[in-house]
Amino acid sequence: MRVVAAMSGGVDSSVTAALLLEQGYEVIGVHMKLHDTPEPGLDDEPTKTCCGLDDVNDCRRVAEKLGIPFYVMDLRQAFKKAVQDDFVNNYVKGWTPNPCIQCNGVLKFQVLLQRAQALGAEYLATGHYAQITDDNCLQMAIDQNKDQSYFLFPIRPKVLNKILFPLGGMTKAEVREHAKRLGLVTASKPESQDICFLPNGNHGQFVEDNVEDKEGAGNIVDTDGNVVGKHEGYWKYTVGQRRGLGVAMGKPVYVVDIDADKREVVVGENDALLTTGLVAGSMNWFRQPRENEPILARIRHRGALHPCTVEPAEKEGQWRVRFTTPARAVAPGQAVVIYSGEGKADERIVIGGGWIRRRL
Amino acid sequence: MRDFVYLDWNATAQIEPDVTRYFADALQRLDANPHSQHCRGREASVAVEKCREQLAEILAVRTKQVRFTSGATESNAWVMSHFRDREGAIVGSAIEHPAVGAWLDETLPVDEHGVVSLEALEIRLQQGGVSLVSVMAANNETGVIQPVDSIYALCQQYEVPYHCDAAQVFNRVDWAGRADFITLSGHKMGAPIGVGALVLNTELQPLLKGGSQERGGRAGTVNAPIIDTWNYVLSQIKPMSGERQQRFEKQLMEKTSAQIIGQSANRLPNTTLALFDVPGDLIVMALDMKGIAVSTGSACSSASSKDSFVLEAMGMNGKPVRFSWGHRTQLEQSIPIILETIQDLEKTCAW
Repeated sequence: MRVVAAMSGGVDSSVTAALLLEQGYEVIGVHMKLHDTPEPGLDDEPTKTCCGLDDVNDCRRVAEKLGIPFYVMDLRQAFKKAVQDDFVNNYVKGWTPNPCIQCNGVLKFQVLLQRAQALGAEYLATGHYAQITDDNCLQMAIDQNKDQSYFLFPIRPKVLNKILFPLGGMTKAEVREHAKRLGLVTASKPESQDICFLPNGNHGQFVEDNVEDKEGAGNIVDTDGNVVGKHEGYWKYTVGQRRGLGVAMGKPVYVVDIDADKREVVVGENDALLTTGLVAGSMNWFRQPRENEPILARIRHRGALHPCTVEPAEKEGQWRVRFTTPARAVAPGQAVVIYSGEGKADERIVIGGGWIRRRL
Repeated sequence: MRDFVYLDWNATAQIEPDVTRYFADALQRLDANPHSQHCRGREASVAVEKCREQLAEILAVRTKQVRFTSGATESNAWVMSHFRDREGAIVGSAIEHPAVGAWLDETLPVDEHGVVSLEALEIRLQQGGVSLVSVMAANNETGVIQPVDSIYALCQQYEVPYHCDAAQVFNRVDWAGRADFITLSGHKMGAPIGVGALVLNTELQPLLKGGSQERGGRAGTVNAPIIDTWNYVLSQIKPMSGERQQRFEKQLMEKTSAQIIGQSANRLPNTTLALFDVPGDLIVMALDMKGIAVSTGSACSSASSKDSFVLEAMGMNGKPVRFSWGHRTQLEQSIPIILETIQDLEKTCAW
């Protein structure tokens, strides 16, 4: 049975390919070339991102060691359109995008999956820490510290049975053990952390370089509308942000809202960040909540699971999520992922997810 | 390595077994510096000069016009770096190999068949201020042969030097083009990778300083074994008939969605560039899994397969597939697998 294994050049995807091979699959390694971010210079600090030239070379070495075919797929155009443009548009709206989820939803589990199937593969495998149960449910990973189920909500339900997550049932330590046992060059590679096309982590610069109307400067105001400072571009801010605001108000303040139309960044005290609910769009339901089923909302990666209720909102395709107790720093542009509250706390099932459009 | 059919000769030609044996022997036989006074040095020097003579004969130039380099990219850089330091613009076609393209100040358009526009060249020459014209002999992706004689005539009329990158034509067609500077590549015609030559009409500023090699133009120990092996390959080069190409393309067009690029142009008989309803990179991967090596256009971008700028210059876009072969390639045997693989992909790629 043929499997395409997505290989980023990191330890997780290397072990993914190796384990599948051990399990008897015919494995084809594929690396997605997604962008042209310049390579770091000789004397620059190594970046914390994945997918550079060194990573491709690591992939090749792993593939050669395993004796599997390996290909680089140039998906830059699709990535630009679906992820980078979307990233900029989000910030222009005053939102906080999550490009990794967008990349999973479009690049990996649509474009790459289609291409894998075209190459005769039954499955697409990735090194994500999440599980797909025997009855085709998306479930948290065994390793709660690594669980990436939040990042996978846009997978279309009908393709869940075409996807393999061989690492979902292991801890990171076990994965590294496997890498050592298999002698993979990537065994002790550090985790990638930053957004792959922002090696210096400067999203504001990227937005500025790619936005048509470069005028983003404006006022910083308090929750009563009083001007308390100036900023050089509202897209540099994120709801919940405390550092780097440059305003002295005698008490800790946070970004509580971003008004793109007025180019205003609203700051307030911690209490002003608490919200009772949100409206989400582009919901992807693996199944809708059952009657009387307890459900939990997660509004950031590895964030708390908030007991909640959901109901369709007025606008087609949008859903209202109400928290039982207020949640902090709900940021439009981020994802809300709904888990079933049934069963064990570390075996939660993802029943759906969507993009946060606004706070209630 | 299992058996595979190699259809990527325009990236680099396969080394035939007799060439491998010859090269291994030459490494032993000519393990001396050709500039050394002793007998081993003299033997190596003679081997180098024999190759120079053969190249001069093939190109109908004097032996002292032939300078050895490490390959076509170096030969191109030698010419380009000289003219970069002169007044005026370096003008070349929009489909030059990046080893030339990277140096161009201005580009000349090509028509929909992939042939450079002589009208555009003449208009540009009339305007003046051109230090060098560079147009290749045949394009590495499409195989389309460029009107070198007409280009040279125009350049002479306007007294502008003409450089021709002729890396792709030898061992494919009988090429008798003339230019002020001609770039040659060993590995594209069947020699090992790492040898090339620049044929020049006038001296250029040295590319590498620090020695009297190649008449002071290119310092560095002259690589006698590889040059001698190139000489051996040169004694065997010959033109190829176009029959295999015609049969192959006929079947591609009948059985798949193939659109042959530059089909009505005068092309190299070993090259077929085609666009399909399926992205070319997928075809490359699927064929590789069946033991057939092809590529998407040029192999020159680092880790990836960029959309072809050559196609773009011809007013098209997409990811094509390039099939290119040598005299002894078992093209016919691979055709059924190629057709079947592409047909399968066309069925599954309905998206």
